[in-house]
Amino acid sequence: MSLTRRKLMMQGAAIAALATGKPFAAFAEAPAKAPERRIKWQNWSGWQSSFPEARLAPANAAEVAEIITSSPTPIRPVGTGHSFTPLVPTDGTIMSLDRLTGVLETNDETLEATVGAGSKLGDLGAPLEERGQALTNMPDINRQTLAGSISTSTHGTGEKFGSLSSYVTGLEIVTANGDTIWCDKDNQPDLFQAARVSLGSLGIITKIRMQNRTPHRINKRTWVVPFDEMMEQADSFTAENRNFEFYYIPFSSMCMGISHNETDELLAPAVAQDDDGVMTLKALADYLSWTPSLREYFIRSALEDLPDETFVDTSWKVYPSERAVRFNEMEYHLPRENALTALKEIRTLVEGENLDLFFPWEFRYVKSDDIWLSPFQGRESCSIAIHRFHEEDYKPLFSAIEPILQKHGGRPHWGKLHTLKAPDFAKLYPNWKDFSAIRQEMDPDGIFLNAHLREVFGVA
Amino acid sequence: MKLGPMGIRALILMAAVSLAACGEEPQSAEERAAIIAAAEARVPSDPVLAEKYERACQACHADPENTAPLSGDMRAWTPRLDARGTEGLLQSTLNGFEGMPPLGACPDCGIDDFENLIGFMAGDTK
Repeated sequence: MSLTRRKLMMQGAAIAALATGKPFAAFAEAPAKAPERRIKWQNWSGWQSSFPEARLAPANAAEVAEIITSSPTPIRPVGTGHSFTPLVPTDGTIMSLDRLTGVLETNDETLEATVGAGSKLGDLGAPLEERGQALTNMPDINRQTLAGSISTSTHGTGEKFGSLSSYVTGLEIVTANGDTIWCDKDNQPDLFQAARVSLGSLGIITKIRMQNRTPHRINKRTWVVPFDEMMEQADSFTAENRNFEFYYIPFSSMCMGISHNETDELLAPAVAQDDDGVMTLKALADYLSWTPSLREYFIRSALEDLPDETFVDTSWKVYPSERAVRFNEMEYHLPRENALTALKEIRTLVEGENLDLFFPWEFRYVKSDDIWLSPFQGRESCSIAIHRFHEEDYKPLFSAIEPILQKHGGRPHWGKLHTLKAPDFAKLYPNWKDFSAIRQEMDPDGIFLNAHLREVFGVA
Repeated sequence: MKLGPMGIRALILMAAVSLAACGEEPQSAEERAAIIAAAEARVPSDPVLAEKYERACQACHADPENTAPLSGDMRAWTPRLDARGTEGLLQSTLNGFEGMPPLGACPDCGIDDFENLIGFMAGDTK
């Protein structure tokens, strides 16, 4: 048994019509059968749920249009249910994008690829590589669909890299009246501007064209740094590496740095490891939360002498890590100049008041963009993510920390838990009215709005 | 590498897991390879069920590096069926279990689909 970084950090940060000619896959479409009872839909963490009247999986845009014009509303698209906010729950129709997948078209000159919107990030690596392409950057979970990722401005890390939405160069969307529209910077540019981050509120995205790059090999390094040193060196680390992020293990005074850099080194893939690190941290919290100093001693002594770990593999195999332990998450994107200060304040709060928390906190860098509803619009950003074990009520912890993130100008990740409403967003996003106007035009009857989105957009 | 208190605790946890597995017959490398090959090749004969299996189940239940029981591996499925029964496995699918998300990554599956998919992976060849 070795106490590895993966156990403590990767895992810890986790802190995953048909051939018969039927029009689309539906659970209750056979007329001869008695109606099946409604089945509860739940998100990945299990905290968001609903009992939709219909759960459908169309295979193409025409089937999407048929569902939109004939199914119970609200109609909400679902990828893999990795959003922690209630973006999906509806009593009407949940539309899975599971059958809208695959690399559909590539351009060797521009290195763009058009893919099915329901493609999972982890399923794109190999087929793109076969066509001489790779995603420019990736987040550290690859189970999400591309549509779900861009709709919530999901991101990786690296000061030179924006969110996945910033690499979208065009997309196909089926509207509330059943029309199928392709939009890009030249065709329907306002719709394109709005749709790149749109929470599934403008229609159902069926195809996405991404600006990619050539396949590349990545050297991934992880190393331990005391918290105070990390606060001094983090900006240097991010400037020196293609991608850089770090985790802080609460009640330890220790951080884990992670860098990714392009390399020509020979492949040296990661060795599969067991994933009990986060549960070990939980056990320590359970047994030693009455004595934070002893808890800190145990964790720090286990970490401080660990050697660096390095492996080399093709990019799409390096970025993701497994998330075998379910959790709920709050993540805010802060102006870069405020983020380290905010992190220090959170540490002071959590450890000073001995708040119940064992998951490591994740700190990442994201480049600014110009997308109306992107949390990174107009400012270089850092993201601070706090995780809570899925069996524990996240509200007391998150409500204690959220004011710090808000005080420093944070914008919440659209798919991660927050308490903001329409008036808050109107202040945080300069183009809020522009987006709202497009949304009203695209979906005047609000068929894509569930209760959560009505709060977000201030629609009665 | 230094093995701190956390490592010691992890060792204790591993030992507990090892003891729990002591009652099982050892499995040869050849047997394991055959089970993996069979899992990778198996697909339900019903085309509708096959489409859902390939879309939602196969990625984990035909991947030996995943902790999910392999499709058709009765050595893995029998103790689960004995302990929890078909209804227990159905509830795990509906609500999520360890690495498996709620609804088993098949948001459009009905109860019949889930029962048939579980039955197929647990040995039923239909």
